Formats: sequence, C-alpha cells, structure tokens
Amino acid sequence: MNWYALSGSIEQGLAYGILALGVYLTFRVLSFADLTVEGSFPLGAAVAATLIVNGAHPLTATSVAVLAGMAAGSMTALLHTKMRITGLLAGILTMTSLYSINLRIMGRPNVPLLREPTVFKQLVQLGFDHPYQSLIVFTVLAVLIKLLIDWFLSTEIGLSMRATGDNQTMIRSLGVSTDLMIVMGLAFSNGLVALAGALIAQYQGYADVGMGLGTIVSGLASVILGNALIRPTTVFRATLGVLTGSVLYRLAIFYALRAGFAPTDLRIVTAAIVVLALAAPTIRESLNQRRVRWRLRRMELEGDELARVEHQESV
Amino acid sequence: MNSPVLSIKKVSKSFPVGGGSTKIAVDRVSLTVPQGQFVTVIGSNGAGKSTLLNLVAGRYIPDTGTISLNGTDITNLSEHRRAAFIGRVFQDPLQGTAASMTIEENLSMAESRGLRRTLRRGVTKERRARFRELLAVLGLGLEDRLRSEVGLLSGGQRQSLSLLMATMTKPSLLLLDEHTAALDPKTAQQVVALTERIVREYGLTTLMVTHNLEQALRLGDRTIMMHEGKIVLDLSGQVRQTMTVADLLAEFTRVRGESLVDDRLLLA
Ligand SMILES: Nc1ncnc2c1ncn2[C@@H]1O[C@H](COP(=O)(O)OP(=O)(O)OP(=O)(O)O)[C@@H](O)[C@H]1O
Ligand SMILES: [Mg+2]
Repeated sequence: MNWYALSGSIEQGLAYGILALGVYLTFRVLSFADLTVEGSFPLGAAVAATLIVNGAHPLTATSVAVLAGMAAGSMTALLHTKMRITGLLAGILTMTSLYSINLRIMGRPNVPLLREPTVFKQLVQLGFDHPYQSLIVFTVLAVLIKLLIDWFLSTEIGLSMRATGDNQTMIRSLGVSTDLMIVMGLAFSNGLVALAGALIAQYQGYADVGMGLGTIVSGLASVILGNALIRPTTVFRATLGVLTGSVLYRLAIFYALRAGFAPTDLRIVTAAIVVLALAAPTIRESLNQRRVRWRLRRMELEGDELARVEHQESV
Repeated sequence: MNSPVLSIKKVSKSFPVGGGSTKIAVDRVSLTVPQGQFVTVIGSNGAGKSTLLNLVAGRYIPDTGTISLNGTDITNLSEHRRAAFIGRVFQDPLQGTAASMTIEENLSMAESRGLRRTLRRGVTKERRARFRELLAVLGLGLEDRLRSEVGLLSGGQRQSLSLLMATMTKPSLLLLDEHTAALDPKTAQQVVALTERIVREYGLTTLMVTHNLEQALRLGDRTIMMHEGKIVLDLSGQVRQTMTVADLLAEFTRVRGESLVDDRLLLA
C-alpha cells in the first residue's frame, strides 16, 4: 500500500469533508436538497483565485470567498421563501446563474495559482513546513468546523434550525420564522462550501469554472455513506459520520481508479456507492430476517427429528 | 375597562374551489373573549371551526375584518410573531413536536416562545431541572426520559407534551383544535383532564374545538356552535348550565334543517 497516495486520499476526503458538512446542514438538518453547491463551490474558488491573482492576501481572499458563498446560499433561500419557488428549482436557478457569474469573476475558464501566494505557502513562510502540511491543515480545519457545527446546532438558534427541518408547523407555532432559519442555514452551508472551494483551489493550484461538476453528488455520497456507517443518533455522531464518509468516499474513488476504472467512470462508481449506502439498512434487515428464518427452519427440523426419535423410542 | 384578550370583528375567509368559484369557510364572524374565559367550539364537519382558529393563529389572513389580541390589531401580523402570545395544540399529535429531537430540546424551544433566540445553549441545567418538574406533573414517567427522541413516544404522550409546550409560558391565548380526536378514548380522557387542570391553574384564555358535546358543555365557561361559517349559538351562564346534550343535538338539527345528525356528534 502506497502511504503517500493513501494520505492524499485522506487529505482530499477532509478537504471535501468541509463541503460535505455544508451539504449535511441543508440536506440533513434543514431537509432541503440544495443544488446551489454545484455553483457555490467554484464560486469560492473563483473569488479566492481572482483576488489572490490581483494581490490580495490569501486569508482575505478566502474570507471574501466565504462571504460570496453565503450570499449565493441566501439567494437560493430567498427564491424559495419569498418567491415560493420549490427548493430544488431555486437551487438549480442559482447554480446556473453562478456559472455565468464565476466566468465573469475569473474572466476566463481557468485561473492558475502555481506562482501565486496561497494560505499553504504562507504557512511555509511562517515556518510551518512539513511533508504532511496540507493533511494537517485540512484535518485541523475539518475538525474545528465539525465542532463549530456541533456547538451551533445545540444553541437556541441551532435548535430552531433543526426543528425547521423536522416540523415547520411546530416551530412556527413556537414563534420562529422558518423563512429566516432557511436563509441562515443555506447561507451557513454555502459559506462552508465556498470555503472548501477556495481552499481546494489554493491546494491544487488553480480555479476552474468546471470544478463544481459532481460536487453535490460527492457531498451527498459522503453524508449518506457516513450516516450509514455511524448511526446519527446525536449531532456529534452525525457530523463525525460526515467526515468519515467523506474520507471513505475518496478512498473508494482511489481504489476504483486503481482497480482500472477510467476517471470518466467515477460518476457511476459514485452513484453505486450512494445506492449501496442507502440500501444498506434494507439489505442488513433482509439478511437478518433470512438468518432468523433459517434458524427457525432448523429448529423445526430438529424438532421433527426429536419427535421421530421419541416416537421410535416409545414404540 | 380592560380590553378583551381576543376580539374578532366581522372576519371572513373564503377558499377557491376550482371552476373559479369560492367557498366561504368563515362568514363575517364576530367574537369577543374576555381574559380567562374558556370557550368550547362545536359544529359539524366543514363548519369553519379550524379555519377560525387558523385565522386567529395567523396561518390564514382574513379577506375582511379585524382580529385584535389584548387590544392590539394583529390582523396582518405573521404567524410566527403572533405565536409569542398564542399557544396551539393540533389535532395530529405529530404536528406539535419535532420527532427527531429529544424531549428536552422540544421543551427548550417551547420555553423560548416570545423570546429572541440567541446563540446561548438551548438546553441548560436550570432548564432541565424545570422540565423534570413540569413533566413529573404529567405522571407519564417522561421526566426520566428527557433525552429520548420524541418520535419514540406514543400519540398520547406526544399530545401531552404538546400541551405542556403550548402552555408552559402561559400565553395570552390557547388554541386547541380537536386535540384529543386522534387518541383512544382512555388517553383522550387523560389529555382532557390535563387540559382542564392546566387551563384552570394558569387561568388561560382558551378556544377549544371539540366534537364531543358532553365535553363541550362540561368544560369551560362558554360554548359556541358554528354552522356554515357562522356562529349560530353562543351559550354561557345560566342558560348553558341547564343545557343538555339532547338540547344541543336538537339545536344542531334545527340549524341544519334536517333530522340526520353527524355520526361523530352522536359519539358524545
Ligand atoms: N386550505 C383550504 N383550502 C380550501 N378549502 C378549505 C381550506 N381549509 C378549509 N377549507 C374549506 O373550508 C370549510 C371549513 O373548513 P374547516 O376545516 O374550517 O371546518 P371544520 O369546522 O374545522 O371541520 P371539521 O370538524 O371537519 O374539522 C370546508 O368546506 C373546507 O373544505
Ligand atoms: Mg377542523
């Protein structure tokens, strides 16, 4: 096993884990299937890369990228809550518009950052130079964000947000504006997604207008896979599951490539992973049932056997 | 003189019913409820009882008329803002609680009614102690299950919890829409007894819709009957005390102009 390649997968898993945590907020907490992600991820990358190329400090550039992502999320939320457009369509509309906006921001389809300062190079300058630098950075960040979400979802506002995803009638009857919760949740979520976009652009050395393709599916795959493996009985476990799922998802992709799948096959591999993760509880159940049935049948057979023996003895 | 808790003036609401026509669900209804009064609301299916409660709660905005609460016009106030002063329990036990959240989380959200939600911890030690006391009163053993998911509770337990959540902040007005209709008779009786106790103890001004005529007369201080969007009978004081279920049924028959009475009404 190639440790270097493996650590690369873990690194990516944690980097995209930040995106997956954003997807968790909408998909699981708010029960809102938000496709904005496909646009806010490259938006984060585009904003950060463009600002860096124009001389902004990488940290400033990353922060502005987060704000841009939050604005994109709010846009979808407002389309949904104020214009009464269904959530799915609202997300698609924002995502589609963002494609044009991202091209406008970058001025071209691709902005290279190889010769530009990035947060990672800044860290090197500050003396943090380590072969696993980016692995450490992404681990620390992903865990911090996970803990931030755990804390947030236990606050009064956080509880209201969770209730909005569970039962809008109920939380409205307790005096919470569900519209406001949806706006906040989508802003928070897409802010995280844009952060992931900004960091990944700096990590891989370029921003590309097409880099959002498939992000929603990989995010969902991570959330679903993680929740299938670690039962999300508490928020702490749920977010832990999301990060675990994200890492496992990247490892699965890595092994799929090694097993000879072409990069173009990865989409169907991803779909298969999602289907497997979603079907896992059902499969487990039917296996259990079959086992129980089997045992019952055996007991019956043994019972028959016993009866026959008893019968013979009595004769 | 103090302004009444609830004052409804000539409120109407109609709904579109295909073919371009509309159905008047509530028709120029006026109703004044003074502080501390417990009003039971009866009427056949489709009479407009739920629509009236939904108008008061702000789920629907009236086509015409005004609604005031404690002397303030709330006709156009959004549902969640009114909720600061109005507690509700719904017919469906699933509607009043968040199933995927714990008992203590549900109660915390209810305790924040009317307050600005902040980034402070939702469930605190002080709150938990208070919840335990409140739940102990129910006698359902829920005080030892603060961290159970509400989805694991039975319908009766959920409805008792909903009632607690609707009343724990002593709102100006309590709206109950057939809140025991989905429960088995014994559980329904327990929830009714709990309702009576809480309403009396807190002196809550209450509107309670019920299909149980015996209950409608026995509970509270006033009974109104609705028919085709209008209040057709308003009973209180002496007249109400001498009223029997048979009298009410006769009244129903009279307003409906037919001898057949809804099966649900006969269940009383
Ligand atoms: N959202 C709605 N859209 C269309 N029509 C509605 C709506 N809500 C109520 N109605 C209609 O308004 C009328 C009054 O309904 P409402 O639910 O208020 O009656 P109700 O007295 O509560 O009856 P029940 O005892 O069956 O609960 C009915 O004819 C109903 O079909
Ligand atoms: Mg009704």
